[in-house]
Amino acid sequence: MAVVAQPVFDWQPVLDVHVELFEPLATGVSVALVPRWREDSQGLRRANIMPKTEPVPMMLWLREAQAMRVREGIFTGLASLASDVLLIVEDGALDVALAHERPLSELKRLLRRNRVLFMVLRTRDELRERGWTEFLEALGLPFLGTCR
Amino acid sequence: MSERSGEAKLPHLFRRGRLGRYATKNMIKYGACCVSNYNTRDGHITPRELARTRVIANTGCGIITNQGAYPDPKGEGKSYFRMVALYDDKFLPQFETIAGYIHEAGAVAIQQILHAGRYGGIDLGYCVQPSVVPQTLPHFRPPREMSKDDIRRCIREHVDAAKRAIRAGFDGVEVTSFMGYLLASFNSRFTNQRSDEYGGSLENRGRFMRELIDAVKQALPEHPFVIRLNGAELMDQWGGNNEDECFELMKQAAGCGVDMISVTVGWQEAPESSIGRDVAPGHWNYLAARAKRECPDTLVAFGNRLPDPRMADACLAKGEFDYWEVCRPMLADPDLVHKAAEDRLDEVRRCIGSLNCLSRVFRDLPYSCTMNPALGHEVEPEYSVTPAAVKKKIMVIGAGPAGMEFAITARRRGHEVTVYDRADHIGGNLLGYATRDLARPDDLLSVVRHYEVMATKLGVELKLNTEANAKLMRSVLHQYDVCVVAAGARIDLSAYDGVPGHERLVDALAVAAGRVEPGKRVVVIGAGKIGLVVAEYLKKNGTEVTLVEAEKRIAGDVMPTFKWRHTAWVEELEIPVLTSTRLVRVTADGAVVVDAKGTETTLPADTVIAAAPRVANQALFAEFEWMVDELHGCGDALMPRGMDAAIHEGYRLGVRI
Repeated sequence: MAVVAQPVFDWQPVLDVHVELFEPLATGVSVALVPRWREDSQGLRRANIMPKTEPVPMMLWLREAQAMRVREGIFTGLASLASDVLLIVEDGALDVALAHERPLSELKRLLRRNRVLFMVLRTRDELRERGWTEFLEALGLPFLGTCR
Repeated sequence: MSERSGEAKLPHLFRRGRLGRYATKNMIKYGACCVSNYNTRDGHITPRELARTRVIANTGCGIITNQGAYPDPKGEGKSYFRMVALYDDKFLPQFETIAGYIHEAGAVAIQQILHAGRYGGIDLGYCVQPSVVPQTLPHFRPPREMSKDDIRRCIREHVDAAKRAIRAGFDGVEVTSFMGYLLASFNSRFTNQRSDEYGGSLENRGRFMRELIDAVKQALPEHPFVIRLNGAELMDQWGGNNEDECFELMKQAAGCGVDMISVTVGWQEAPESSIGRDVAPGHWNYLAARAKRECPDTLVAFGNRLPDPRMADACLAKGEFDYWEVCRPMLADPDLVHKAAEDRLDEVRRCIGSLNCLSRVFRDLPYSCTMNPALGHEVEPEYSVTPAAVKKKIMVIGAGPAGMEFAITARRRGHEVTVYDRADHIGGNLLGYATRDLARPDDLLSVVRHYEVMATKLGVELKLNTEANAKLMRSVLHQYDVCVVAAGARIDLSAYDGVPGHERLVDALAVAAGRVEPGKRVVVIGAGKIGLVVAEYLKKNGTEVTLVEAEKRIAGDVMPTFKWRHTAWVEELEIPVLTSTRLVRVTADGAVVVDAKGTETTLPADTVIAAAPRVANQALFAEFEWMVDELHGCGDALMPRGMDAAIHEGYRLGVRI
């Protein structure tokens, strides 16, 4: 199951609009956007938040030398994921965001509504050193504990 | 007014109870709600903590739970910066002291053992979990999977820590299996993806918990064992346990013979509120009632968002749970139980759910309380209210939180205090702000009511509708020894003097106070807490609102743990927000603003409200300098901040003047 119905590259203009969020990022870091569910060989629905999974197409937002670029990737489980930040996406959620006038704002709302789950694969200090503060704050993601 | 009169009014709360072989003097359990961060980095209890626990011991609760200690020498269980440890006998002397305090106060002493699991390893580069499931909050450490050997070792460490607690004089132990801590992460489908006998089915996921309970019970069969469990994780959207599964786990624990189940709500990373003031008191009671139904032979303790003893007494009467478990309300007022027993509930300082305590703990700071400035300073005599050596006549300018806190503190020390305020009520700007609060106005208004009650009871004189100025000062010249300027802050409208049309601007505080009625389409300049509260309130009541903020983010001056709440409200109410944008012109048609790229936009509006910047009302310091012996200030009159600083400064000035 693909993370989005539309071509992932439709997200490139969104990243280009928010260049200020990605400028501080170190070259080579990425956000992985992974569908929450996949169908196995028997057609059963399986969760992808697992150390190892069957290969699943994912979208990467990869910080290249000049800018943040949309790339396609293959997710084979958390254990082998090289990204710093992971967004696990319910079916159709990213399409909803992309259809919105301000997709990143809608993504923030989807995070709040639990249709997208945010996970980190680096420590807080590593995330700061690699320049993630602006992006995470823009999505309303707390760096510290919450206990609401 | 007799001590018994309050107890008679709350008969279920003040009846005697029993936990295992220990009688309890009432049905109130002091819950180990959060870690104080008052201790050393290596887990030793400090004099500051001992002074604090002496206060806790004397709260009047029948059961006192001492805050959680981590049980392992590696510190994998350590979740807070200055958390106490119980992995070695070297820690025992201070635990003995605490157990002694609790027994001296006639309460049953329970020591909590807290292995934080997913939220642990604060000094390490990792945390331990049943499976490698990444963190959803960057604050916590990357996960490592526990082996079966790790599980066995962890159980031994819990047993050793429990035995140590009993040797220190505690009567029983409490183990945490809630909020995402270690056992909870095994219980939950979200974090437990194991394929061995500790993962998979609910029976398997609960195995670690059951083995741990069995081991501790076998080691300490005569001592009560309490377990804290989630009635709701609030994580089910992402594969966590639903409520049915939570209650199946409770039944597993009950089946292992635990003496008490403490029912709680939410994980630390849960995306919705469980204890904030946006949750109505009593909201979660149904979880406790279900726990009691599902586990009728096990004591159930509960207190999440149940701050009022009257509500708790009613729940006990209905058999919804057995013990009222309370902590945060007693951070705000350690005398809560005594006031209830003495029929003085009107004097209680209510926990207003500001979550200042947790905001600080997650920044590795000692916890403090907005409502209780002495919290954490019990070891310092300077924070005690003691009789004044010289009784003074004091005038206070401003009846907001700073002025009123100062007034009642100084009055308790024997000073003669008169408070002047130009308004016809006390509360200052807080009153308008509280009235418009979307979360729960009653909580914030309780602060004002508390000051009203205490001013009356203590005999603080109030002179309302009285403007404080040089003329007033001349009329009372030499009548006062001290003047305290607590005149608060105002919106600095002069900051807009260079903005064409600035005379059309309306003051946000005037709108909040109800002195100005805005139109049906408004622009609010400044998305700090005042601007947000005003905007949210207006939008909720049908006004079309746009927020304009000069900074990159909104809610810059909001308590960290409550920022998300305003952001979510702004989204839910669909209030347009323009950040990195400032006002350049006000016209009859609205506001003209410019963004960081220099693009001008006209925002149609019939009212443009200025909610920032704020400026301290300091003019009186200069005016009164040569007119009174002592001149002091406190709160926003020194620098605009908020209620927390106002109350704390008012108190600190009150105890030393």
